[in-house]
Amino acid sequence: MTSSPTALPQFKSPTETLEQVFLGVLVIQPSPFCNINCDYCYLPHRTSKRRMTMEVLGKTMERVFESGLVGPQVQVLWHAGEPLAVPLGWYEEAFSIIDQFPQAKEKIVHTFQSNGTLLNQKWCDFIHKYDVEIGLSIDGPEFIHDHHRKTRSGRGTHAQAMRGAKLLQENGIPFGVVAVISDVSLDHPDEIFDFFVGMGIDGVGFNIEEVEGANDSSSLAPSPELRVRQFLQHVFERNRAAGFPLKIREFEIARESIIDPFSNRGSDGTYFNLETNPLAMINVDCDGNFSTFSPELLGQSTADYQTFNFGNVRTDNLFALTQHPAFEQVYEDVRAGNQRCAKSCEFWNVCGGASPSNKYYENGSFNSAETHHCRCMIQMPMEIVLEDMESRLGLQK
Amino acid sequence: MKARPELRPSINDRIARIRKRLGLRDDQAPKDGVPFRVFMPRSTSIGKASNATIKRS
Repeated sequence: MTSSPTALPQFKSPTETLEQVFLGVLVIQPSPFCNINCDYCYLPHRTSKRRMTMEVLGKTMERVFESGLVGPQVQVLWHAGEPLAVPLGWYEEAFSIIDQFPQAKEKIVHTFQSNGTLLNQKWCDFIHKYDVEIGLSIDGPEFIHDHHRKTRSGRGTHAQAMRGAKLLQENGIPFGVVAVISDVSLDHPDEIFDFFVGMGIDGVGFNIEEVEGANDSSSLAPSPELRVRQFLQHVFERNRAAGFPLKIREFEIARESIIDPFSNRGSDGTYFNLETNPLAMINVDCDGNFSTFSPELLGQSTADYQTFNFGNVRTDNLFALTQHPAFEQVYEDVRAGNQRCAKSCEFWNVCGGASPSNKYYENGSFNSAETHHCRCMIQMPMEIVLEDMESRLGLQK
Repeated sequence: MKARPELRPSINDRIARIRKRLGLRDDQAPKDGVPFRVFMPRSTSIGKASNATIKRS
């Protein structure tokens, strides 16, 4: 039986129904396995070589398209494990199954977030063929990257990742980079900036090392946040002095929030945050279990909520999650946390409640407000960009 | 006597002031030529980036 948004149950607010939401990101975990063993990784089962069956994949796509939640575009993000650790032949079969859905070619953008170490010419040909977007995880120069991003035998992975990056560039495939900022990074903003400029990449997103999931402590924890601010400020100033050769996600998001604040608004005019809107992001593990809100919650279990798996595509349509007792509790707490943010944080209009997973793992509850993550990754970049624009426009205090 | 805390404009006020200086009305999105171009890196990972990379258009 199929479902449609018109048959949805009402949420507790009489004005809020799932009709207001469309699916922006579908995270699919082809396998939880990762071929390397970064010490800050949040994924709990990354030694498991379980793999999604084609039956589960087909059912996932059926659930998605029957839901009526597909908007102008859905980003299918192959992640939650190293996506390229699954054989290429698996994706060839998977993509052909997906392409059988009438709207797929028009609506779906495929994306890999990869450590890059397994890239070869065949992968590049596949990426070209299906116009797949790819981002690599590289933390900076070798001595920084290899501090945390190691193989299971303890060897650094920088050389392999850079070989993958070079191969993408030789094939004319543009890519962005995600760099985790850990304690070892904070003293080296120049080396990190020079490295990424030298790579000639599209752009970089900085993720501070987070306490999340299987990563129950962060090397940043003893560091004063002032060090993070100094790092970000220094990188921003180097970039400005060089004429902004590097597109840095956090600063670009802040700039967009100032210049084009209407590009990401919900129907009620507030900032639309995929992570706090149920069903705006669906995360499916290799067994077909699905979750919503932050993808980092997929596969995690806690004493408070038991599970963040709110259904399984084999037996449940996507809206079934609204009937799941754990979902009801999580959603109630996420909403209450958002209300706290709205009341207490002046960055609310440019954030929309940040990331529930960070609230949970840092503060112990979704029903909470500010986190270390939002101070470092939302508030600091916004302050830096505001100060820069004010200075350039002669608006200093 | 206690010093008065400095009155600092809010984030929203600062954004409004910048937008006004750029000649953008409250309900106006930028046009080509606005001097701060927005660019989103590709595939900037899950969660932390996804609310920025996917727009409600």
